[in-house]
Amino acid sequence: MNKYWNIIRYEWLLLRRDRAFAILFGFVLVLSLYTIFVGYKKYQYVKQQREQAASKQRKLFLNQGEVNAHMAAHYGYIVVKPSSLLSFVDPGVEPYTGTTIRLEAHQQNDPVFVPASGQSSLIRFGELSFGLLLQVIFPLLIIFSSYRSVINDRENGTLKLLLSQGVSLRTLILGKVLTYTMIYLFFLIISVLIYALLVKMEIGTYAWDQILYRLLFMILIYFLYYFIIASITVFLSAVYNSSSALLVTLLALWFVFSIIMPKATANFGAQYAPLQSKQSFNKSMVEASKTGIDNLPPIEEYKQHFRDSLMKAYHVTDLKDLPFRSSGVLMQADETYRNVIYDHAFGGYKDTIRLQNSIATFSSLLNPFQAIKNLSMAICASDVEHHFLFLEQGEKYRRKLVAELNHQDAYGEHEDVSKDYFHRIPDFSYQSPSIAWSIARRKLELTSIGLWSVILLGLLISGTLFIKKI
Amino acid sequence: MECHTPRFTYFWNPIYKEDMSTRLMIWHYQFLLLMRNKQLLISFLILIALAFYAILYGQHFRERQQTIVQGIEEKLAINDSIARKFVLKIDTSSEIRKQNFQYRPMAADVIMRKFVVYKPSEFSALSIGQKDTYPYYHDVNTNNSLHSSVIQEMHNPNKLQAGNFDLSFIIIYLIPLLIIALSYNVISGEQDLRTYTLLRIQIPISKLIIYKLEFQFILVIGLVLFFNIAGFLISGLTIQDDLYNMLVWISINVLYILFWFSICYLIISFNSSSSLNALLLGSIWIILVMVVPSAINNISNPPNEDEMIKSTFRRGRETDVHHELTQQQALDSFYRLKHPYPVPIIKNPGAADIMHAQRELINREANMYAGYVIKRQKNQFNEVLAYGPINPIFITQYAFNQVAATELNSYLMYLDSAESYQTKRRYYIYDLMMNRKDFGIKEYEKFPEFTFQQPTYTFSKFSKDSIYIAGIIVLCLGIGFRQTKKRFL
Repeated sequence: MNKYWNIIRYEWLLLRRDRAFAILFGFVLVLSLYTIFVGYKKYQYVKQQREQAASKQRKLFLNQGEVNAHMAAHYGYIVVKPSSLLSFVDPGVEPYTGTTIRLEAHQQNDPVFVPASGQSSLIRFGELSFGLLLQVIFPLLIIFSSYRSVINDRENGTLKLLLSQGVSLRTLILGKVLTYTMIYLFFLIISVLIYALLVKMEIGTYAWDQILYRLLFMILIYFLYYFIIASITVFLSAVYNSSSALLVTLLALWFVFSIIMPKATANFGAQYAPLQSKQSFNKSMVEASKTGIDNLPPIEEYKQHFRDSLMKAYHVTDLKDLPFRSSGVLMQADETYRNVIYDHAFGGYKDTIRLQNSIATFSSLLNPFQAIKNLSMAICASDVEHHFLFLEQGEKYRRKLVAELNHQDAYGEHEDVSKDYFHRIPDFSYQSPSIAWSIARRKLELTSIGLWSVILLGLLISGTLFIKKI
Repeated sequence: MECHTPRFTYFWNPIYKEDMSTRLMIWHYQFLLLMRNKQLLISFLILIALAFYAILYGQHFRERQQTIVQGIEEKLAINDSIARKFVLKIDTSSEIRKQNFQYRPMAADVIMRKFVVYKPSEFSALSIGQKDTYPYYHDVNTNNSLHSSVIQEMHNPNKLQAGNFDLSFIIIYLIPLLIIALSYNVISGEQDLRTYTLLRIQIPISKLIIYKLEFQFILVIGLVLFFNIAGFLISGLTIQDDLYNMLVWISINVLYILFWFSICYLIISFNSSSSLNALLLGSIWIILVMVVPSAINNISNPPNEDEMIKSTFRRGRETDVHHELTQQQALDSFYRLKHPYPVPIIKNPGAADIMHAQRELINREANMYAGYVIKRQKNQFNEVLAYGPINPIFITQYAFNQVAATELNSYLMYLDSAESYQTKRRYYIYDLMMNRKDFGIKEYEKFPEFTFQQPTYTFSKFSKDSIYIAGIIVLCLGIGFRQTKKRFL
């Protein structure tokens, strides 16, 4: 253990004396602080915008006065996805998903206001978020600061000296890997502490534990990620003779892993399992209701059967003779039918998206960058699964709201509901999932990071025996 | 070997014949070295494969949008034939049908359910830009503002986030890396191989750098031209129809390649080691391609959510203010609306006239809020362009997108045009309907048609947009030239 500690101290001493490293250190610090504060400001702006919009829509809903219950269901409700506190660390797919949905009777609307759809192509270069820094820039800095670590020792003869003093190459390489992992982990911890402070100021104790678990998990997976990068770099530094050839190789690897592969797998996925067009999606729902699906008969048959069974149950021959207004009950039956059709079609849409994304997910076994990218989005609640969760919760709320209004239409004292009635309907509230829920959907990525770490540790322990160049 | 001072007449002056033969000799050896470098040759092959994939992917994207557009056009043709039958059928069999007779232009419009389309250009296969995120067909029937009936195509957010693997991506991201990989050690590599001194006594190093970079420049330009020609052919572009855009496209490529070579020349001129050169050039690539564009992107904020809600959700509660107007108030407000079309004066307004007047007020209000959103988007876009001098990579992407008509400004132009068209169409119908004019197949056929022509990205616009890039090239070459003279004596 003492040997490792000495190597870490020696390596740190060398780095401290290196002016280039001091510049790099400053650069990383400035970038980290910049991304955290700019991200925080942006979060506050978006949060304020969405809260204002949501509260305005709620007021409009509450103050619509005496109105027919079904008309109120048509007017509907507008739900806005609350801005997630962690999304400013990694905005994930949020710039490409709608944040606002109009919920109304008879139909499911798409979320609108996709931020990217009103912006220039600059958005495709990505946002300089803290997540981008951790995933893409930090690995590069690890490469820049450590690629010469063993080559330098060999060139200036220190390597021979160290080996002659009884330090094994394995200990030396492991020590160096630990040094570089720790340095960047230190940056990460400092940044996370600043971030945690901002979060604490923003939310106090509300949902603090959930955010804390997510931050701790983030530190853990990034520790493994940096260990992987540092291991590859230092190991290759021991294998290569020429530092420039090594640098070019490492830059090429970085480029292929972090730029080419994620783009190529996403594009390939889109070609491999193409999504339906909106037109054919809508058409498929119309067709399904005409012909019926699974155990459901065609819609007209279903409606007729429902009407007949209703009259039979109440022993009447005309719907007008029912002891309640039939319109509300019939509309609810229609809703129930259409919900099944929608669930079927939307389930198909989600399955296609998941199939498209599975190519990138499988590639994470080869590409640790892809694994960390997906894990980071999951931890920051900004991946496509969290988007689906928002849609599901919105749809659940719509169904409850429409059912309530249909009930009121059928069994309410008057056709028009009172002014105060709407106050009884609770506001939509998005429930953030637990970290366990988020991570459970990223098992393959977790396996990838774990496997890479174990394999590289094995390589550092046993592979150094095969390095003959001293 | 005699040393000459380089001049602008370098290639044409017979005095420099000897230089030309030296240059050709160096190019020849560079070619031999390249052929022997297996690593580099494999990289070339991979790059070619990636470029072809990118071209085919772009084509796939364009074909998909075209198929959807075709589906819409087919649906429109069916609706048109139904609407024609409706117009030809004059049904006054009952009193109510007689009363409704005057509203037939509106009914024909509802049956028609007109859509306008923002078609993908041929070049969009080469530079998809933002075309995959913008809605590209809009319902422009009379009842709604097109801003309130936006149809967003189905997307995979992960795919949008990853970006498009098109030819412009290959040029913008990969070609600079190839240039860096080729040139980072043009001189330092000779020092590493201990051939530097040998070369120095035969040729001035400043010239050697230029000759070597010239060879690499020709190689890269040749490769990129090959990609471009393949892209043009696969995308179905023809010289007869698209020569101008092809030339602009190629000019953007040449300027961009020159830009990266000038940066490499500058770094090489400082006579540093191969590692330091690779480190510096790698850092410059990261800063220019990743950090600067994404940092500028951070500055821009999304548009106002409330305005977007008001422009999009124009139904129900939000529009009560117009429904609560008295008939006369609604008509007065309707008459006061600004537009360049004949004003229909309703003599004996019926309930349907009032309803349409109210709808017009609602639609105009939606257009007004959409106008605020669009104004913000335009301002934001201008802000982004104002950072052009420090964001040359985005300017190059922007130039590609201008040729392909896949940038925000092209989309907003289309939206503007579509909104004007919808208003024109509505007022044509109001004129027929509210002035109780005759409506037959002749009038139906005179329904306004939507025409939208993308403005051409001219050389003068391109020159204006890329003036900063040209400035950077001149600056880098100038400093580099001085440095080589100073450091490689």
